[in-house]
Amino acid sequence: MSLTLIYSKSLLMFSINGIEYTITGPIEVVSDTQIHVETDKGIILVDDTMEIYKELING
Amino acid sequence: MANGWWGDWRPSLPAHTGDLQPTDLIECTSMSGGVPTNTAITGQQIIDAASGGGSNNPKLLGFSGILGTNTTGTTITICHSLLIPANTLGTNNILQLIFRMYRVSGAVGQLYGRIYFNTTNSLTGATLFNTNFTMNNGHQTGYVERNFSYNGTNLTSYSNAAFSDYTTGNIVNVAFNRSVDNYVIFTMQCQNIADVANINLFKVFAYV
Repeated sequence: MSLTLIYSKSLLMFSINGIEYTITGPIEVVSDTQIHVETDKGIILVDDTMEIYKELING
Repeated sequence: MANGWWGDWRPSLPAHTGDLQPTDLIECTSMSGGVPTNTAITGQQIIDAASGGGSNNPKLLGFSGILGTNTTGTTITICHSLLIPANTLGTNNILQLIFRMYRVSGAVGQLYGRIYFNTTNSLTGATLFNTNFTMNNGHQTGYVERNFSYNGTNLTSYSNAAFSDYTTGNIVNVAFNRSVDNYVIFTMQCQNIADVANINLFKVFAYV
Protein backbone atom coordinates (compact mmCIF):
# COMPACT_ATOMS: atom_id res chain seq x y z
CA MET A 1 0.00 0.00 0.00
CA SER A 2 1.36 3.39 -0.90
CA LEU A 3 0.51 6.21 1.42
CA THR A 4 -0.98 9.36 -0.01
CA LEU A 5 -0.65 12.75 1.57
CA ILE A 6 -3.42 15.30 1.11
CA TYR A 7 -3.20 18.91 2.15
CA SER A 8 -6.58 20.28 3.12
CA LYS A 9 -6.94 23.70 1.52
CA SER A 10 -10.42 24.60 2.65
CA LEU A 11 -10.82 22.90 5.99
CA LEU A 12 -8.69 24.07 8.87
CA MET A 13 -10.71 22.82 11.81
CA PHE A 14 -13.06 19.96 12.55
CA SER A 15 -14.81 18.52 15.55
CA ILE A 16 -15.19 14.99 16.94
CA ASN A 17 -17.46 14.37 19.92
CA GLY A 18 -17.36 18.04 20.82
CA ILE A 19 -13.58 18.29 20.72
CA GLU A 20 -12.23 20.78 18.20
CA TYR A 21 -9.13 19.93 16.22
CA THR A 22 -7.02 22.33 14.23
CA ILE A 23 -5.28 20.78 11.26
CA THR A 24 -1.57 21.47 11.50
CA GLY A 25 -0.11 19.17 8.87
CA PRO A 26 -0.77 16.73 6.08
CA ILE A 27 -3.55 14.19 5.90
CA GLU A 28 -2.26 10.70 5.30
CA VAL A 29 -4.43 8.10 3.60
CA VAL A 30 -3.61 4.89 5.44
CA SER A 31 -6.27 2.58 4.01
CA ASP A 32 -9.35 2.63 1.82
CA THR A 33 -11.47 3.82 4.74
CA GLN A 34 -9.05 5.48 7.17
CA ILE A 35 -6.89 8.59 7.25
CA HIS A 36 -4.46 10.09 9.71
CA VAL A 37 -4.92 13.80 10.31
CA GLU A 38 -2.17 15.83 11.91
CA THR A 39 -3.76 18.23 14.39
CA ASP A 40 -2.92 20.41 17.34
CA LYS A 41 -3.93 17.49 19.56
CA GLY A 42 -1.82 14.89 17.83
CA ILE A 43 -2.36 12.60 14.89
CA ILE A 44 -6.00 11.53 14.83
CA LEU A 45 -7.47 8.57 12.98
CA VAL A 46 -10.57 9.53 11.03
CA ASP A 47 -12.54 6.83 9.24
CA ASP A 48 -15.39 6.71 6.80
CA THR A 49 -17.96 6.28 9.58
CA MET A 50 -17.45 9.95 10.40
CA GLU A 51 -19.10 12.74 8.47
CA ILE A 52 -15.94 14.77 8.45
CA TYR A 53 -14.12 12.02 6.55
CA LYS A 54 -15.39 13.01 3.11
CA GLU A 55 -14.65 16.67 3.66
CA LEU A 56 -11.13 15.89 4.77
CA ILE A 57 -10.32 13.44 2.02
CA ASN A 58 -11.71 15.74 -0.65
CA GLY A 59 -9.54 18.56 0.66
CA MET B 1 -3.85 -21.41 80.26
CA ALA B 2 -4.48 -25.03 79.28
CA ASN B 3 -1.58 -27.25 78.19
CA GLY B 4 0.80 -24.33 78.56
CA TRP B 5 -0.64 -22.64 75.44
CA TRP B 6 -1.53 -19.06 76.09
CA GLY B 7 -3.75 -18.70 73.09
CA ASP B 8 -6.41 -21.27 73.74
CA TRP B 9 -9.11 -18.62 73.57
CA ARG B 10 -8.41 -17.96 69.88
CA PRO B 11 -10.24 -20.95 68.32
CA SER B 12 -13.48 -19.45 69.55
CA LEU B 13 -13.09 -16.44 67.25
CA PRO B 14 -15.07 -16.41 63.98
CA ALA B 15 -13.14 -16.75 60.74
CA HIS B 16 -12.19 -13.49 59.01
CA THR B 17 -14.49 -12.70 56.12
CA GLY B 18 -13.61 -10.82 52.94
CA ASP B 19 -10.23 -9.84 51.57
CA LEU B 20 -7.37 -8.76 53.77
CA GLN B 21 -7.51 -5.00 54.27
CA PRO B 22 -4.53 -2.73 54.96
CA THR B 23 -6.16 -1.69 58.22
CA ASP B 24 -6.74 -5.22 59.49
CA LEU B 25 -4.85 -6.16 62.64
CA ILE B 26 -3.56 -9.68 63.20
CA GLU B 27 -2.73 -10.34 66.82
CA CYS B 28 0.60 -11.96 67.37
CA THR B 29 2.16 -13.34 70.52
CA SER B 30 5.86 -13.86 70.72
CA MET B 31 7.71 -15.62 73.51
CA SER B 32 10.94 -14.36 74.97
CA GLY B 33 12.41 -16.04 78.01
CA GLY B 34 9.08 -17.66 78.67
CA VAL B 35 7.34 -14.31 78.74
CA PRO B 36 4.61 -13.72 76.14
CA THR B 37 4.49 -10.37 74.38
CA ASN B 38 1.42 -9.39 72.36
CA THR B 39 1.82 -7.29 69.22
CA ALA B 40 -0.25 -6.61 66.11
CA ILE B 41 0.71 -7.10 62.45
CA THR B 42 -1.19 -4.85 60.07
CA GLY B 43 -2.76 -6.08 56.88
CA GLN B 44 -0.59 -3.55 55.02
CA GLN B 45 2.56 -5.18 56.39
CA ILE B 46 1.44 -8.53 55.03
CA ILE B 47 0.45 -7.04 51.66
CA ASP B 48 3.82 -5.30 51.36
CA ALA B 49 5.74 -8.43 52.29
CA ALA B 50 3.79 -10.55 49.83
CA SER B 51 4.35 -8.10 47.00
CA GLY B 52 8.10 -7.91 47.25
CA GLY B 53 9.07 -5.96 50.30
CA GLY B 54 7.22 -2.71 50.27
CA SER B 55 6.69 -1.87 46.61
CA ASN B 56 3.70 -2.64 44.43
CA ASN B 57 5.52 -1.62 41.25
CA PRO B 58 5.30 -2.29 38.46
CA LYS B 59 1.57 -2.79 38.52
CA LEU B 60 0.33 -5.11 35.81
CA LEU B 61 -2.69 -3.47 34.22
CA GLY B 62 -3.36 -6.22 31.74
CA PHE B 63 -1.91 -8.84 29.45
CA SER B 64 -2.72 -11.45 26.86
CA GLY B 65 -0.75 -14.35 25.49
CA ILE B 66 -3.07 -15.32 22.68
CA LEU B 67 -3.94 -13.95 19.28
CA GLY B 68 -6.39 -11.10 19.18
CA THR B 69 -8.42 -10.07 16.16
CA ASN B 70 -6.99 -10.77 12.72
CA THR B 71 -6.56 -7.93 10.27
CA THR B 72 -9.05 -7.56 7.46
CA GLY B 73 -7.71 -6.56 4.07
CA THR B 74 -5.39 -3.60 4.40
CA THR B 75 -7.42 -1.84 7.08
CA ILE B 76 -5.84 -0.81 10.36
CA THR B 77 -7.38 -3.30 12.77
CA ILE B 78 -7.63 -3.38 16.56
CA CYS B 79 -6.00 -6.67 17.52
CA HIS B 80 -5.89 -6.09 21.25
CA SER B 81 -6.88 -3.25 23.56
CA LEU B 82 -6.89 -2.53 27.26
CA LEU B 83 -8.86 -0.15 29.42
CA ILE B 84 -6.80 2.10 31.64
CA PRO B 85 -9.41 3.24 34.17
CA ALA B 86 -9.65 6.91 35.08
CA ASN B 87 -7.13 8.07 37.66
CA THR B 88 -4.92 5.00 37.27
CA LEU B 89 -1.98 7.24 36.46
CA GLY B 90 -0.76 10.12 38.60
CA THR B 91 1.37 13.12 37.72
CA ASN B 92 4.70 11.35 38.05
CA ASN B 93 4.28 7.86 36.65
CA ILE B 94 5.52 5.49 33.98
CA LEU B 95 3.48 3.50 31.51
CA GLN B 96 5.16 0.54 29.84
CA LEU B 97 3.61 -1.01 26.74
CA ILE B 98 4.81 -4.24 25.16
CA PHE B 99 3.30 -6.15 22.29
CA ARG B 100 4.36 -8.73 19.74
CA MET B 101 3.35 -8.40 16.13
CA TYR B 102 2.55 -11.68 14.44
CA ARG B 103 2.19 -12.76 10.84
CA VAL B 104 -0.74 -15.18 10.74
CA SER B 105 -0.48 -16.03 7.06
CA GLY B 106 0.97 -14.78 3.81
CA ALA B 107 4.45 -13.53 3.06
CA VAL B 108 3.79 -10.94 0.41
CA GLY B 109 4.14 -7.56 2.01
CA GLN B 110 5.05 -5.58 5.06
CA LEU B 111 3.06 -5.56 8.29
CA TYR B 112 2.62 -2.39 10.35
CA GLY B 113 2.04 -2.23 14.08
CA ARG B 114 0.80 0.90 15.81
CA ILE B 115 -0.29 2.15 19.23
CA TYR B 116 -3.31 4.41 19.67
CA PHE B 117 -5.05 5.94 22.65
CA ASN B 118 -8.74 6.73 22.85
CA THR B 119 -11.44 7.30 25.43
CA THR B 120 -13.50 4.57 23.77
CA ASN B 121 -12.45 1.17 22.54
CA SER B 122 -12.49 2.35 18.95
CA LEU B 123 -10.10 3.66 16.34
CA THR B 124 -12.54 6.36 15.33
CA GLY B 125 -11.01 9.59 16.60
CA ALA B 126 -8.15 7.73 18.29
CA THR B 127 -4.81 9.46 18.84
CA LEU B 128 -1.81 7.80 17.25
CA PHE B 129 1.48 7.37 19.05
CA ASN B 130 3.38 8.63 16.06
CA THR B 131 5.51 5.65 15.22
CA ASN B 132 4.94 2.80 12.79
CA PHE B 133 6.58 -0.52 13.59
CA THR B 134 7.32 -2.33 10.34
CA MET B 135 7.88 -6.04 9.72
CA ASN B 136 9.17 -7.02 6.30
CA ASN B 137 7.75 -9.88 4.29
CA GLY B 138 10.30 -12.40 5.55
CA HIS B 139 9.50 -11.73 9.18
CA GLN B 140 6.95 -13.58 11.28
CA THR B 141 7.14 -11.78 14.62
CA GLY B 142 8.33 -8.51 16.03
CA TYR B 143 8.50 -7.61 19.73
CA VAL B 144 7.82 -3.94 20.46
CA GLU B 145 8.36 -2.03 23.67
CA ARG B 146 7.81 1.59 24.63
CA ASN B 147 8.22 3.22 28.01
CA PHE B 148 6.21 6.40 28.48
CA SER B 149 6.95 8.94 31.16
CA TYR B 150 3.83 10.73 32.33
CA ASN B 151 3.72 14.21 33.84
CA GLY B 152 -0.03 14.51 34.21
CA THR B 153 -0.49 15.96 30.72
CA ASN B 154 1.57 14.05 28.17
CA LEU B 155 2.82 10.55 27.67
CA THR B 156 6.36 10.92 26.35
CA SER B 157 8.47 8.30 24.64
CA TYR B 158 10.91 7.59 21.84
CA SER B 159 9.52 8.32 18.40
CA ASN B 160 11.71 6.28 16.12
CA ALA B 161 10.37 3.18 14.38
CA ALA B 162 12.87 0.96 16.19
CA PHE B 163 11.10 -1.81 18.05
CA SER B 164 12.57 -0.89 21.44
CA ASP B 165 13.39 2.41 23.09
CA TYR B 166 16.69 1.29 24.62
CA THR B 167 18.49 3.86 22.52
CA THR B 168 18.79 7.57 21.79
CA GLY B 169 16.64 9.66 19.51
CA ASN B 170 13.76 12.07 19.24
CA ILE B 171 10.82 12.18 21.59
CA VAL B 172 7.12 12.33 20.87
CA ASN B 173 4.29 13.39 23.15
CA VAL B 174 0.76 12.03 23.28
CA ALA B 175 -1.81 14.04 25.22
CA PHE B 176 -3.35 11.84 27.90
CA ASN B 177 -6.18 12.92 30.20
CA ARG B 178 -5.74 10.72 33.25
CA SER B 179 -9.05 11.78 34.81
CA VAL B 180 -11.12 9.80 32.29
CA ASP B 181 -11.15 6.21 31.08
CA ASN B 182 -8.62 5.58 28.33
CA TYR B 183 -7.97 2.62 26.11
CA VAL B 184 -4.57 1.67 24.84
CA ILE B 185 -5.14 0.14 21.42
CA PHE B 186 -2.69 -2.17 19.67
CA THR B 187 -3.27 -2.41 15.93
CA MET B 188 -1.90 -4.18 12.91
CA GLN B 189 -2.18 -3.43 9.21
CA CYS B 190 -1.08 -5.35 6.15
CA GLN B 191 0.54 -3.72 3.15
CA ASN B 192 -0.91 -6.44 0.93
CA ILE B 193 -4.38 -7.94 1.04
CA ALA B 194 -2.92 -11.44 0.69
CA ASP B 195 -1.43 -11.24 4.20
CA VAL B 196 -3.08 -11.54 7.59
CA ALA B 197 -1.57 -10.02 10.73
CA ASN B 198 -2.35 -10.10 14.41
CA ILE B 199 -0.79 -9.59 17.85
CA ASN B 200 -0.17 -12.64 20.00
CA LEU B 201 1.18 -11.00 23.14
CA PHE B 202 0.75 -7.77 25.00
CA LYS B 203 1.64 -6.54 28.46
CA VAL B 204 0.83 -3.20 30.04
CA PHE B 205 2.55 -2.12 33.23
CA ALA B 206 2.20 1.05 35.27
CA TYR B 207 4.66 2.43 37.77
CA VAL B 208 2.46 4.44 40.07
